[in-house]
Amino acid sequence: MLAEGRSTQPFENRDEELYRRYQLAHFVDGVLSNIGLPFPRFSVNRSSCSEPGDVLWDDEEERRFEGWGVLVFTVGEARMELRTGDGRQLGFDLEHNPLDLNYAHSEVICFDTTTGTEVKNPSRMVQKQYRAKISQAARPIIPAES
Amino acid sequence: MPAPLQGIDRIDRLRHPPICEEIGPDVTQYLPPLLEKIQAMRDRSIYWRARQQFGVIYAELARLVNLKDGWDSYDAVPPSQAAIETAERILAHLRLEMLLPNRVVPSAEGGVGICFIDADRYADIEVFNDQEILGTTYRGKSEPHVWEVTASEESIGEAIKQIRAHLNT
Repeated sequence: MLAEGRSTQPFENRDEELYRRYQLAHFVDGVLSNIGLPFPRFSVNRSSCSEPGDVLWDDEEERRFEGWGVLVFTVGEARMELRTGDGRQLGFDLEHNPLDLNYAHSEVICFDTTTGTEVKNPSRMVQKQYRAKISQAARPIIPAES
Repeated sequence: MPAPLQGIDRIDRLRHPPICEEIGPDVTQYLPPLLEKIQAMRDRSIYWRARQQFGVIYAELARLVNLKDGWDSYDAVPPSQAAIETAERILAHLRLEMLLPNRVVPSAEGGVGICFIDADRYADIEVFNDQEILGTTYRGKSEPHVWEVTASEESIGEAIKQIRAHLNT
């Protein structure tokens, strides 16, 4: 869906779904491995303005990601707080970040809960915790084929 | 296959000690089943099975060398040579310990992940391109346990011990 100059929308509904592509390789014996999820700032499409299958379409190359699947998790599952080794509390939330050719494009971001400032490079331990928790929450909505 | 006796001269038959003997029907009857049994035992052997399965895992690791930038269709970088070599070293440890991973996969963070699954128990060792290594275990939706692993033999050995304990609990 084209952005066409529309403004960003806040994430108000905790049940809103988020979609992301995945490869079959990262689904190991029926379990999604966190190894296939990056962090920080990873891209998702929000369900309020897109369909799951939309993430299988490459807007720039105008081709479909054949064989790839789509994972789904909710805004509520993506939002969480984790404590770092040095005692800081980090929050994780979503930012609607539309692209010209993809209005639904959003990103998971990390911020310091005390200052509210974005933490672009949290420790690997915290990143890993977050990736593991998202992999526990996510389930395939369109199964990958290859 | 025994040599046909018709081709052996009478003198050779009389030599002492004998250089040939007739193989009776007992041997020809029992040898093929015996060989089949040996093959079946080999197929059942934990050692040989593990050897074959580790072969598959090593092949998965070797394939990661061919990945290009953006292999995950987003922005992931391929595993570095150093990460692949470290993963190889961890696999050698795992082989010695006879702890077989389920899969070796590229990391979306850049690196290599070695994954273990047993029912709802999950574990992995992730080797990043900058040589940082993390171990992770969790069961179902329980709180993940993440810890740092160094490239030392002791630390890798300890990580394997933790993962084995987690999978066997």
